[in-house]
Amino acid sequence: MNTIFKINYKISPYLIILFAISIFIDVAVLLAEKLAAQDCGQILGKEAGFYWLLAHQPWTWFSFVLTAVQFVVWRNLLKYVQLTLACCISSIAYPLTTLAAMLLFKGNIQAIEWLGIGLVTVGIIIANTEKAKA
Amino acid sequence: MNVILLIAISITVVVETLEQLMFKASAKYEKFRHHFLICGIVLHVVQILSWFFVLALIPLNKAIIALAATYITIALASKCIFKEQVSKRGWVGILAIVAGLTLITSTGL
Repeated sequence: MNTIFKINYKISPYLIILFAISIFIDVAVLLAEKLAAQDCGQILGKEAGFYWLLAHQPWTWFSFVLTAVQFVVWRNLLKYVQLTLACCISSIAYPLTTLAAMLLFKGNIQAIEWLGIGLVTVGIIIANTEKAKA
Repeated sequence: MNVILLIAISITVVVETLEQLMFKASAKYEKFRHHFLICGIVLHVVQILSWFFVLALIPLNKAIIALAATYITIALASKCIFKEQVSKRGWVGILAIVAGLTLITSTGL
């Protein structure tokens, strides 16, 4: 094999930190929304009451604050990376949320979900790299 | 699939795409950064409302396919508006991500 994979754009420590914060916030927001929703009980037939309870959950407001921070981080990140590639990288938040949810809520990950996690990871690598001569 | 659900899903996909375009425009055009940022935030609120509406109609494992589709619409819109180049390899990666997200939520996230 005379080829290696090369990242499509200039990577810097600042960019890595921005991506790390952005992905961390994405995961934290999804988990906070889950925590807020599960404290509100059943939704079926009581949608209005559900949203009223949701608005009174600290986790809901915590997710809003994180989302506001995310707007700033994401905008700064897009100064350096194409929108398409940035969106691809941020999609790693979904597999990470699945793994975090497994640890936090003691759930199991099924084989098909592991396959999905693998596909997303491979997709991110493929989309953000190109083959280059070693 | 009823018409209301189809409209709700379409609005979610279009608004999510527009939201991301606004954030990119805010990063790209320094002079109008606040205008685009505010537009992006307003669109995010609209997107959340339409997303909740979709979730009220169908389960998350079906709804997520609509959200995953935005990776494709964002790539197409970025290509048209910001002249971003997406190679064949890039499209393969995006399709793998969409397929992966669909599998992750297939059992109900």
